[in-house]
Amino acid sequence: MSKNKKGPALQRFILLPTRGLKARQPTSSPAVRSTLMFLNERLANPTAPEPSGFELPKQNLRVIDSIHEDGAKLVEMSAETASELRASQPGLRIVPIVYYYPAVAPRHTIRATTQSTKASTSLAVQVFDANGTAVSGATVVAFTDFVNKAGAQGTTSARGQVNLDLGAKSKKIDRLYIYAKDGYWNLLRQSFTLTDGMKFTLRTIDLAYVDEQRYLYPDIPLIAGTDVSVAVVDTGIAQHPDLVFAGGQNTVVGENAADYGDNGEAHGTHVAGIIAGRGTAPNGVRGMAPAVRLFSFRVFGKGQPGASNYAIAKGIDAAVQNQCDLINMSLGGGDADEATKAAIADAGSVVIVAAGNDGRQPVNFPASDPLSIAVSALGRKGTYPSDAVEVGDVMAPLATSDGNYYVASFSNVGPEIALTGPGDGIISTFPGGYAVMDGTSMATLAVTGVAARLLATRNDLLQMPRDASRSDAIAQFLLRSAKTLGLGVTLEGRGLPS
Amino acid sequence: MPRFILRYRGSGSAQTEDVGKIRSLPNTAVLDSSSGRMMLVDGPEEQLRTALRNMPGWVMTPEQAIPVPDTRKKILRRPDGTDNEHP
Repeated sequence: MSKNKKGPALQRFILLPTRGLKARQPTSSPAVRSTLMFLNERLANPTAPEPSGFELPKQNLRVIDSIHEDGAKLVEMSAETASELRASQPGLRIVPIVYYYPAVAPRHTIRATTQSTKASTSLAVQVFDANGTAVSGATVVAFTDFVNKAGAQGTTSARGQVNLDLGAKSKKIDRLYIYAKDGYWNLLRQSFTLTDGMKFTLRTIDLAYVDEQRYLYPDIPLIAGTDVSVAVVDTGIAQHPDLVFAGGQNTVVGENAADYGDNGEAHGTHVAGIIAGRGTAPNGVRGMAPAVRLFSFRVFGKGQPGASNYAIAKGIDAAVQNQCDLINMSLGGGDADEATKAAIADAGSVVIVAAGNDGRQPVNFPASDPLSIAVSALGRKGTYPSDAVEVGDVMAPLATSDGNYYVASFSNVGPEIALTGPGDGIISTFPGGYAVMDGTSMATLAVTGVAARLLATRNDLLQMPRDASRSDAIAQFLLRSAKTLGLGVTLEGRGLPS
Repeated sequence: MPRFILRYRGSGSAQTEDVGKIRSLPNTAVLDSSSGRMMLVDGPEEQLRTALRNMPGWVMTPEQAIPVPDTRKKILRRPDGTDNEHP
């Protein structure tokens, strides 16, 4: 990395065609090919004029090397310029230069002893709702040292009680989180002394509450998203009064392909409501684009710890076969793999992916794939109760446009972030009811919802042949709709789409 | 035995004869080939890589799993500093 005397820090990137190393149809659009051809001219003549109608970032883009006239380019530019370039040419793969080093074995360090010194003194707490009814199945997590993640946790019984192995009948607590399965806002208490027999009360979800999604995108009509097909590649979606399905498939090997309902995790059901909820407050939830044709591609098995990249790649293929315009993947975290990369490259659909929830860590794969639209999770103070867990997600920097906005502390960030969306304290559908959840998963569905609403207004884009030019045009339309909040490109990318 | 994904990147659908070649390999089971351009295969890695050298257009990658996304906080250590065995 180098730095201009006055300008922003410059980084080196490789610019690649949509697929392969040379831009040829049908795998790359003519626009991508023209861009690479023009940059080839720029290599020979740095002052070569842009052809009329050509849109490239004006500043801080220097071509250093070229593999072929319509092939890969080594360029130097700022993160801001990379973000602009991604918006103007979504089919161009923009890959930060990576340097590899010898894998030196880590030095041995002393870890906390694993020898059992289990404390015998536990402390009982009880969880109730506002009516005094015991809340069972709630996870209570008591941190005595939040930074080092030390403390004790357990799940409430039918009487709403849990015994926490804290080694004393009274203990100073950094943070206490109570996560209900559904129906309530999750609770956070900070810096207090927890004593045996303490009781806590959870707030019942009011579906008329203006959460972050409804604050940012109010008054969504039922017709938003008409004629747009959206694939939710996830844990499956449960039958719910607020949701209508167009179809789907279970791509988990060994399971029934027709069983694309929720696998018991509820994640897919929650994110589905964010885009396709057709309810009306206070009796239901309204999604971002209720009229979309909603497809569920279940890639997480029942009783399995995770989704295989095979099921995910097959889910993407199935979404394409079902002519889905937008593919939402609120998942990630494994190593980059050729099967998923190939499925995304072959898709010809816009693929929108969650950046991951590892706490300011690099963007997960497949969000980090250059052809994905990676989404971070935006939060806004005041769109959740004052004792909700979301209070603990506030993290600097706050937005320069409005100090109530922040990218949530759990969100992954980096130069691959293309957009941000509401992801902190989102009320949505849950098997048998409603729940509040946080994550880049939720933010991603909101962005997909905006994309669906925008696409529904552009019959010209909907009617284009399903190829790289079409997905480039849709992605470009979405990225250009975004407005920065003043959080910086590595946190918000182009900003919040609208 | 680790499982591998074989994906066809050439134009059109995967060649039937290629799928047949993989099926005929010893100690190898094709667990799924319903997608038309991919196979999930259980078999010796080196043998599969050798077979793919004569099958242009195919790429191979190990199967791996990713967990369901979750932002809920978890305890990693007990109050006395010892590791939590089941975070």
